[in-house]
Parts: sequence; structure tokens; C-alpha cells
Amino acid sequence: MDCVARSPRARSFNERPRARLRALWPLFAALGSALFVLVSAADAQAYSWMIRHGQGNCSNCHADPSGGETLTLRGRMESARLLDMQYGEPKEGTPRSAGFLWGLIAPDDPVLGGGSRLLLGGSLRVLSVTEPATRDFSAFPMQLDAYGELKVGALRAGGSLGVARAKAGSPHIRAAQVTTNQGEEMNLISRTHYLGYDVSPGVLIRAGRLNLPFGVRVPEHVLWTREATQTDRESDQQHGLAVAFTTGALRGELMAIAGNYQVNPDDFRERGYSGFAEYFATPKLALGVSSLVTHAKADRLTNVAEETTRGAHGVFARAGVTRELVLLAELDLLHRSRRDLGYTGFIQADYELIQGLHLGATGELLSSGDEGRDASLGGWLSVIWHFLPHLDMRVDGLLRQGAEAQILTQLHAYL
Amino acid sequence: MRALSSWLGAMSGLLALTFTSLAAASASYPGALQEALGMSCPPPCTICHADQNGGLGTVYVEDGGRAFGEAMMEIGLLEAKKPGMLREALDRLEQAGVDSDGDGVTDVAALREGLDPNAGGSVCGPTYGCGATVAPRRPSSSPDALALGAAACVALTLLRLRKRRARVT
Repeated sequence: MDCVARSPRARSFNERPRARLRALWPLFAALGSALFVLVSAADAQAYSWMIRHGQGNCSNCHADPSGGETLTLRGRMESARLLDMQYGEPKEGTPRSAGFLWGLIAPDDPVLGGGSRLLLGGSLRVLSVTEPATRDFSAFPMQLDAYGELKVGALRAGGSLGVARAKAGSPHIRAAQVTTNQGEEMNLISRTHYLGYDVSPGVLIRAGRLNLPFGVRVPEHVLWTREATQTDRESDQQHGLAVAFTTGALRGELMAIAGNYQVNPDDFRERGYSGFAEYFATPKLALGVSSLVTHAKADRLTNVAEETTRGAHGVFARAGVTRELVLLAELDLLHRSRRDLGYTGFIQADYELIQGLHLGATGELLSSGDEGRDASLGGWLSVIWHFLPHLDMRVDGLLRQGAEAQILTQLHAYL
Repeated sequence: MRALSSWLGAMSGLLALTFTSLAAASASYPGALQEALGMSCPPPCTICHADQNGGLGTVYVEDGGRAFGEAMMEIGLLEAKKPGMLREALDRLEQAGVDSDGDGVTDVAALREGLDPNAGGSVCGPTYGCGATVAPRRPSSSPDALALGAAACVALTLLRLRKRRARVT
């Protein structure tokens, strides 16, 4: 009568999760197989517009203190409560489906929370790109990643592992490769991997391959601002040491960049710093500054074997104007060896029509500083629908100067 | 069970879309160029374009593009998004003896030697990865049996776990 004397809930933290994980190994094995036979290339969720709920502090909901990827227990609960479209009468409490793999591990399972914890997640994203003028159509798996973080006491270890295939010569995905195929073969990728230490509840030190702390962390990795500053979460991460802090109305992160050790040879590795600080004037209004400077012996993007220093410095803001409307904005000055000064920026409006259904409008601009290239303007119109737990789809219409109009359609599942 | 069915359905849809997309993927210019000239690496997009993102309006020199890219369009008569035309365009360039950087080595000969036709120097950029290599696998135009098997494994495992959970509770 062990179950009477010692209910599952009363078992020790260590015992129950281990048993649970043992029971799940066939599932992990199967998922692992699926990962290895599928193919992909890009990025995960980080919804800066959650500031509409007064939740501007990313570390509450994400393992990464600056936002993105692995969700904490609270992140899963808030996702079910605030992101997903609700059908029928509102229900009390957090649905089981908010847990890992649609509730295979319940959201209140001690394995997902507490002082020591194992956070698990993953993301599968399929994208289609249509160019109406040329009738061009392509579709491909953009992301197939598993990620997580183990925290024991003040120590953390985390990261992501996925598979991807990029076209030869593509600037995407390559910099996150673990395996060394340089052509169009499949590669194992790791966008992040790190060890961390919580110095105090508001200060975290991490070392490893990390998202660069800079500007507004948005899921649109091809936004000019993210591409021009090379701070997207698709594959722009770098190895280094970062300190993140959250103290009252101020948060930020500063990273010493040691270079991306998944790029060879060493001449192409950029070294320098990247950081941001954000001040909450009110719970729904945040103002920030960012700065980044790196130096490398050769320019990876233009393949020029000359010393290259680049930098970006700017300001950004997030504002929950009303419960429905959030504005995000960023403006950065760019400098790069052998180029003139440039600038890039965007302003994005997110309107939540009803819970789970968002309409977006984004305006962007870019002057890269390249000789012969004028400043360009671009615009996005977006519809994002979180139609079921862990599932969302979005359609974006892009119109950019110097490029054909595009329609992007995405289907995204997170584990 | 209904919830399980809905997400299994959604996941099947995602997987189906994934396999469809694999068939839709097309070859890239760098890959086609590497194959056409037997180069040791795929050249970076910047041998033609202003930056690594490529795209329309970034090939001509006055738009920040490269001389080799402009020659491929003007003399090779290459068209956008038609890598199938590449060999023909390279033939035209070779016959015309185009030497974009004026170093005495024609563009096509430079590329065959692994040199950047715009400025000399190696055309091969950085390499990526930590050391391990996954065996090359050619894209397939039909759904991969192994992948479908893995997806079926996931579904069956989840069903079994759900049933086991139902028995326990």
C-alpha cells in the first residue's frame, strides 16, 4: 500500500522526475530520430509585446534573462492564460496542455519548477515564401530545435540542439553548425549552449554561446534591424561571457564576445562586446539603449581578408499603449570598416484583436553605408493566430524597396 | 483523448508540410556555380551581390554589387532566379574572356582556381562547424520513409504513454 502511505505528490523531488524521465525515454528517442531525419534553418519565440500585460521583464517567463526560447513554468502558464485563443467559457487554473509536449509533463510537475528544475522545450517551424509578381514559391522547415535548461541550486546548464539544411553560400544557419558539412547536406546545429551561475536573484552570469544582448528581441529574424546589427537569434549568437541583471525598474545584459567558435578559421571570429540596458518608466513603458562593437581579422559576410571593426549603437522603446495596442521601436547607428556611417530602425504596432489573434504593422528602414546603396524603406503587414495550445500560425506581407513583394506563411509548434 | 487527437492531427499536418517543402526546395547559385566549375567550396553570394543576402537590385556595381555579377547579367545574359542558366552564362563569359579585376586571369579561370574574380584572393570564405561530419544525403523528391517511420514512432509512443497514464489514474 505504498501508494497510500506515500502518494506520488509526496515523493521526493529527485525521485519522481527521474522516474518520469525514464518513462519518457522512448519518446525522446523517437523525437530524436525525427530531428535527425528532418531538415531546417531559423528562430523561436520572444514576444516583446507581452509588455501589454505589464510583463516586460523577460526572465520571469524565459530561461534566457533577455528573452527567447526555453520557457519557465510561469512562461508556460502565462502562455496558456494570455497568448492562446480561448474557446468557450473561461476555465480556472492552468490547463494540463500548457506543460511540456502538450501536457505529457504537467505544468505543475516539480520537474518544471522549484529551486532546482529542468526546463524542456522545442520548436518546429515551417515557412513558405511566395512572390506574387514572379509566382515564385518555396517552402521549407525553418526550425527544428530542442532546447532546455537544467538548474541545480545556483548553477545552470542549457542550450539548444537541432538540425538544419541551408543552401550553399547561405548566410543563414551556417554560423550555428556543429557538424562540418559546407554544402547543402544536413547539419546538426546548436544556437546556444552555456553554463550559468545565479549570483543573486537579480544577477546571472553565463558563459557559452549566447544570444547577443542588443535592442528589441523579436521573432522576425530577417527584420533589417536584426540583420544589419547581426543580432538575430537565428544564428548570430557568439561565444562569450555575459552578465544579466534585473533590479527594480532597470534590467540589462552585457556580454564580452570571445568569438564564434563554430566559425573557422580564427581570422573570421569577431571579438568585442554587446549590451543593452532598459528602464521601465512605468510597467508598460520601457526605454532602452544598446551598444555593440566587434573586431575581426577578416570580414565573414563579405569575405574580405582585411581587419574589420563594426559597431551598432542605438535606442529602443516598448510601450503598451492600451490593452490591445503595443508599439515597439528601435533606431541604431551603424559603422563598419570600409563603409560610410549607416543607420537602421523599425517601428512595429501589435494589435490584439481578440485574445490569440494579433494584427501587426511594421515599418523599417536601412542605410547600410555601402557605397552606391541608397537608404531603403520596407513595410510588413502581419496576422498572427495562436489558434491552439503550443500552436500558432502567421502570415506576413512584405514590401521592401529594391525587392519583390513577398508573402510569408508560417506554421509553428513549440513543445 | 480528443486533445491528443487534435494535436496529433496538427503535428501530422506540420510534418506533411515539411516533406512537401523538401521537394519544393531548389538549388542555389553558389551551389550551382561550385558544381559547374568543380570548385572546392561554394562561393559566397558576395562575388555577385552587395551582401550575403543576395536579392534583386544588389548585383549591378552602381547598386553596390560586384563586377563579376554585372558581367554575368550583361554578357552572360544570366537571369534572376534561374540557376539552370548558369553554365550557359559562364560559357559566354569565358568566350568573351571577361576579366573583371584586370589581373590577366579571366573570371572563369579565376573561379576554377578558387580565386575571387573581383579582387583576387581566395574565393572560399570561412568554414563552419566544430569537427564532426554528417554523411552527405541528397535531397529526395519523395517523402522519406525513415522520417515517416520516426513520426509514426512519436505518435505511437505518445498514445501508449497516454493509455498507461489513463490506466494509472
